[in-house]
Amino acid sequence: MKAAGKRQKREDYRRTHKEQGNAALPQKKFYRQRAHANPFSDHQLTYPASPALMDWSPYYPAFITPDPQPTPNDPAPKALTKPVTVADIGCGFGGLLVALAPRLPDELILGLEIRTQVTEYVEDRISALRAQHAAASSSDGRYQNIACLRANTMKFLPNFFTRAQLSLMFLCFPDPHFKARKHKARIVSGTLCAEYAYVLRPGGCVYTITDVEELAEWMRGRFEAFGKVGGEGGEGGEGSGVGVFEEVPLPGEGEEGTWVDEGGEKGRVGLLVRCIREETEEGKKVTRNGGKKFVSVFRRRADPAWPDEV
Amino acid sequence: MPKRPCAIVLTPDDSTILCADKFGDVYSLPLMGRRYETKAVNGIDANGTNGTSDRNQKQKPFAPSATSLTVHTKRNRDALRQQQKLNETKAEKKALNFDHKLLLGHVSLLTDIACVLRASPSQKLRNYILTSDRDEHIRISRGIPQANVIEGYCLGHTEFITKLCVPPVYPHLLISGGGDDYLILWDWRAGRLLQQLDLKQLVATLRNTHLGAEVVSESSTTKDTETQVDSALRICVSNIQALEIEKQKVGHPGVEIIVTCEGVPALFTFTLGANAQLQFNATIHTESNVVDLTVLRNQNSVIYSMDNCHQSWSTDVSSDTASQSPRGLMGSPSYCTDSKTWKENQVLQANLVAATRECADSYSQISQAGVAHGKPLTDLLYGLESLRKRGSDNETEV
Repeated sequence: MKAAGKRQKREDYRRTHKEQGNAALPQKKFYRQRAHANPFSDHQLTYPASPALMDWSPYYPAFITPDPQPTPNDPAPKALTKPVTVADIGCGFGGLLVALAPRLPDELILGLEIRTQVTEYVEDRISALRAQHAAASSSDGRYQNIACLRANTMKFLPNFFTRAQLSLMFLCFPDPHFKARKHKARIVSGTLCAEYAYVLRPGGCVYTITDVEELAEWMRGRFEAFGKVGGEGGEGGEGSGVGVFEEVPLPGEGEEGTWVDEGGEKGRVGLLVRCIREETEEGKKVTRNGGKKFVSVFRRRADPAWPDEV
Repeated sequence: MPKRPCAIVLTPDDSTILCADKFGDVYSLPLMGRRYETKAVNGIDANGTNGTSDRNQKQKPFAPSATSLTVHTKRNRDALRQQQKLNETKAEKKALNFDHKLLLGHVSLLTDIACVLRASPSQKLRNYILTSDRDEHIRISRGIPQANVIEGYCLGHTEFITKLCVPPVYPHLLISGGGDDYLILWDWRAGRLLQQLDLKQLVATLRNTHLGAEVVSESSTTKDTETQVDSALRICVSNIQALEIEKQKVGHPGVEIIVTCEGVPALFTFTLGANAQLQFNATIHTESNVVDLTVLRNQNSVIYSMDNCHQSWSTDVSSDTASQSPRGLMGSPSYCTDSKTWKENQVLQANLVAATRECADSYSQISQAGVAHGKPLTDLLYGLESLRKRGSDNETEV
C-alpha cells in the first residue's frame, strides 16, 4: 500500500503545483523514476511523422511566426521564427538546459528525455522559470528558448530534425550499459554515429561527458573510427583515412575560465565544457561523490565527396 | 549471421550480398566469400598445438567497467564486488568465420533493403542503399564504400513498412507499403512524397462484396468509391512487385505494379506512367489468400502462390476443404498490352498445375503428419502483421 500512497502524494503535489500556476520550482522527489529505460521497446511515444509536421508552438510559444491570416483548423503546424539548433539528448532533470538558456540566448535549445516522469519534471521546471522571470527586462533571461519533450532519440531523431539542422549536441552522462551484450543499447554506437552526423551541420559539435572511463573510451573510439575506411560501422577496428568526426582540444579541469576569457571559438568551447562539467545534475552528483569526469568533444567534418567526384 | 536476416539483396555489380537483420544492422558479404578455418576458437591453433595458453595471454583479464565511484546503491555495489571477485575470463563470443562488414544500422527491426544505381548530375552512376524499418523510417544511404553517409529519409508512413519497390525502368521512384492504409510513391533521393494511394479502400471494397456474398458484378466493385470502411480493418502489404511491360510502340515504357496484402485473396494492380503517378488498374480475384508473388519479366506475367489451408479473408480459420485441387496453390495472370487488362495465362497455368501436382502430393503427406497447424502455421504464412506495435493498439482504444 506504500506505493499507492506514494502515487497519491505525487498526484496531489502535481495538481496543487498546476493550480498555483507552476510558479514554484518543482521538487524532484515527486518525479523520481528508475534510471534506465529500454530503448528498443515500443513506448507510448508521440512523435511527428516527419520534421515538417512537428508542431513546435507549445514548446517555444515566444518564437512563433505571427500568422497574418490565421485560418482555423489549419493542419499545417505553426512555424517557428528560427529552427531548433541545440539538442541535449537524454537531458535528465534539465540542469544543462537551464544553464544553457542564458548562455546561448540566440539558439533554441531542446532537451530530449525518454522517461515520462523526468520529462514532466523538466517541463514543470521550465514553466516555473518562465513564470518567475516573465518580468525580466532582457529577453535573454526569460527561459523562453529552452524546452523539453519525451522521445526515444535512438529511434526517432530524424523525425524531429532535418539534415544538418543542429549545430550542437550534448550527450551527458549516458546510461553506461556495462554488459557487453547491452552495448547496442548505448547512445553512442558505430551505427548511430551516422544519424548524429546526419542531423549535425558540418562544423557542428557533439559534447560528451561520462564518469565511466570505459564508456568514455568507447565513445571516443566510435566517433574517431566513424567514416574511416575499414572503420565503417565502428565495430571493425580503427580504420584509416579521414573520419567524419575530429576531436576538439579541450581545456583541463579548472582552465575553462581562461579559455572563456580568450573568447572566440575557444571561448565557446570553454564555456560549454564548464557547463557540462558543473551544471548538469549528474555532474554535480559525481562531484559530490568524488568521482572523475571524462569529457570529449567532436566536430563534424563535411561529408566526403562521392567516389565519382574524387 | 549474428542475428536473423530479414532481407537480402545483391549490389548492382553482383559482387556483394547486403543482408539486413532483425537487430537493425546491414552487413555486406562478398558473394564468393571465403570461409576461414576456425582458429583458436576450439582451443587448438593452426599448428596443431594447444592454443589455450597463447589465447589467455592475448586476452585481457576481465575487468568490470564500473567502479565504486560510478555505482552508488547498495545492491549495485554488492554486484560490483561480486564481479571483482570473479576475475575469470568470460567466454568470448564465437567470431564469425567468413568475410563480413557492418555497413549501417537502425535501432529497429529492418524489414526490407534495396540497392539502386542512379545517375549523378554529372551523369556518373552512383550507388544507394535504401533500408526500411519497423519504426516507419525509410533511410537513404550512400552505397559501398560510403554507406555511413545518410543522404536522407523518406518519412510519411504511420506504421511499420514491409516492402520497398524501385521499378527498374524508373529508378528515381520508390513505392513503399506496410501496415498503414496507404501505398506511398516517393521521389526517394529528395525524400519527397509524390503520391499517397488509399489501399485500404480497395481492400475494404473487395471485402464488403465478399461479406455481402450476393452476386455483384466485378465492374461495380472497382468503381464503387463510397464504400463503408470497417474501422477495425487492418491491412498489411506483403509484397510489391514491378513488372515492366514490353514496349509495343514507341513511347514511355509502361510499368505495372502488383500489390498483395496478408490474408487477402486478390492482387491489386496499378499502372505507373511516365508522369510519376500511380493509377489503379484492376483487382484480380484469387481463389484464396495470396501468400507470395513473383514476376516473369519477359512474359508480361506474374506467378502467385496461394494458401489452401485457411479460408479466404482469414489468417487463422482453417479451410473446410483442406484437400483442394493443386490448382488452388498457384495462379498466373498475364498482362495484355493491347487491352491493357489482366487475364489468366492458360498455357502458363497448365504448366504450373502440372508442376505443382507432384509437390502437392508430397505436401499433403507432410501436412497429414501434422507439421504445422493452427497458430504456428498462421505465423509462418502471415508473419508481417506481428510487426504492428501493441502500444499503438492501446492508444486507439483509449
